[in-house]
Amino acid sequence: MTNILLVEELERSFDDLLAVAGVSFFVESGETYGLLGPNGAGKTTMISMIAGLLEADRGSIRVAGQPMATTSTAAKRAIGLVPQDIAIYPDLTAKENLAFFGSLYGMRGAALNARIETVLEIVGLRDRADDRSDQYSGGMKRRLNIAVGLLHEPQLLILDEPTVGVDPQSRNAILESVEALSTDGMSVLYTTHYMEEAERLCDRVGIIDNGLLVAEGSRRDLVDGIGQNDTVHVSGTGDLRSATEALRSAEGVVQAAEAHGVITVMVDRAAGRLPSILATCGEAGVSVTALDVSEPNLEAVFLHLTGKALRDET
Amino acid sequence: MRQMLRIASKDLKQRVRDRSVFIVGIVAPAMLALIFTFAFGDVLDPSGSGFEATYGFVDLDGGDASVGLGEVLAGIDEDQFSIESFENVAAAEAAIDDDELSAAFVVPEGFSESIGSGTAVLEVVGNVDAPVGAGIAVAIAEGYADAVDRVTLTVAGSLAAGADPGELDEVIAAASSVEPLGSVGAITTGVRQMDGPTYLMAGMAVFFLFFTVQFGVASLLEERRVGTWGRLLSAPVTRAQAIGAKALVSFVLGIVSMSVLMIGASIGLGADWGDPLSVAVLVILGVLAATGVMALVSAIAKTVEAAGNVQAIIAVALGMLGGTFVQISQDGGLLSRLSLITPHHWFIRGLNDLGGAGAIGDIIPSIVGIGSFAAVTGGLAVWAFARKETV
Repeated sequence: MTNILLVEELERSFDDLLAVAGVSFFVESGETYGLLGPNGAGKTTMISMIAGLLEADRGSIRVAGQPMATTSTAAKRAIGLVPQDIAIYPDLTAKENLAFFGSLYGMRGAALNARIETVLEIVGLRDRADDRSDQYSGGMKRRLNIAVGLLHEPQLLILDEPTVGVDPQSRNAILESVEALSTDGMSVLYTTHYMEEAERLCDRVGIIDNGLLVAEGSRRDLVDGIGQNDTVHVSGTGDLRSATEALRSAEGVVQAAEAHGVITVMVDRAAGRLPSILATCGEAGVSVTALDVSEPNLEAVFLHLTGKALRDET
Repeated sequence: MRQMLRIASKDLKQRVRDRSVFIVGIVAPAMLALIFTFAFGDVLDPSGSGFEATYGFVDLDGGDASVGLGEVLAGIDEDQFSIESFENVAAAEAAIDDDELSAAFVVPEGFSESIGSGTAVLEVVGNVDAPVGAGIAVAIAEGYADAVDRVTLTVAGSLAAGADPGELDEVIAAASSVEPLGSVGAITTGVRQMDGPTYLMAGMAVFFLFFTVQFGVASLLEERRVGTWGRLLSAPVTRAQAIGAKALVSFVLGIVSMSVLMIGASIGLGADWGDPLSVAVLVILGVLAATGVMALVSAIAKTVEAAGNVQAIIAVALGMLGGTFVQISQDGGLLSRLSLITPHHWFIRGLNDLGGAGAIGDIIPSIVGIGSFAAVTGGLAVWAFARKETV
């Protein structure tokens, strides 16, 4: 696979504040890469440099093989930016917004009109295409915001926290759109401080904190990297204490405890241990009524790596 | 250049849709100029066809001097001034009270005989509701008194020099026929003057120009506010192209506003601006100067509101100093010198210098004045934008 984005030793300061401190990563063609970090971690500064809005103090960025800087029009053609804040002209219709931004990428005529129809269909705004965008709901504006980024079929779509302040229904629609784009082979750079979004959408995740990329990899790699176990919660009736004792000596079980009618079992890999856990409970005379498995998530990874919660405001 | 034109085209569409640019750029200056013309037109242009006055003449003397004054009054422009004779002062005052007269000249009994004694008094009774007409009447009376004094002095001087009293009639005739030194215009031919309504329209046009250009450059602050500025710069567009497009919109709106107002004044008020090429140069430089100021303000300000407030203060200050309402430059002193830094002063002076018959060579001081202002403000704006890195 080729790298659609290559970031090397990127650094940027604002006065005495080191916002991005020597970050390196890459996004492969067709990959969805997530930058996960709390507010103020340096994500937006990094996106600003990658999108050619801000010059780096040090390091380099290449988009589709082209060096990116504020004056790099060739590299800018390869990206589509969906900023965190809605960035559309409120006094223009959806079509007029799209036509204007499309023209900046050299699109025109029938091809432009056809593409406008396509992206309006993708974001579900075709019926409201001729309405001024200041008459849209917040969710519709968000969708138009994304449509503008998609219009010129960029090689790399950059989504900077696209679901902040969005209602659950619109949020789900946005996530589905991104999943569809990923399935279609578009490369996506997705920043978020929502762990669930990163887990759901991203092939690989870079965890960023205080301007540093503290870890990188697939979700499973990151989870395995911190050495934490899966947790199985067993609810049931019968002799739970005996079942707990039996589970403590079962293979793969690290720890087992019973409280309030629920047995909590920590195992190295839950998926392969569930049959034996159920069998042990049955042998101890417990009738299992519910079973819940939770794997360590990126929240836990972030906590492990930085010592603070992902959603702490900084 | 194409990207600049695309952005400028989009901005112009937004401004046209917004309509406020028409109000600020065309309707407001035109309305104010018309209101001022109706309100103060007579003051600004007493020689214009709109001014008329009727004067009363009460001759209680019947001597040579009162006959002379009657001849002077009979000789003034019949299209604008008419003279009515009254038997007595009370009748003339009654006509003034009825607003039939702007003023009345009263030649008291014994006026002719008292000339030379230092006690002769020529009275002017003015109508308080017609200050301009009354003021002109006083000026006419003072002019006549000066002429009588001149003749009296000449006769006295001739007699003192031993002239033959039999030749006094010839001396008086010679003294009376001496023409004044000439008009101000004949002495300072380089300075001409627009008529009042034209002056007002020019003043209002250039005054409001500094508000009209806000709709171009300042929109980049609005784009920053709504977030589209960053998106614009993430497209294949450089900052120079994007800012240039905004300046281009200011320039186009300024040119359209000035053109509509000046052409409208030509058609509606009969304004004669002079040589079209020279006028075009003045207008273009004026618009560049206004755009330069607005660009500088936009480069420094953080919000649209702040930019609008600062620009309004600058526009009013420059407009007042530059003589868009009152010609400060005629006042002398510090204000007179300060007015020289304003493009308004040089713009109006340029139009005055063109004065119907002037050419490009007559407005070189104005070209230098406005051009320098535009270059300085534009240069500072470029420097300020270059320092401002973040979007």
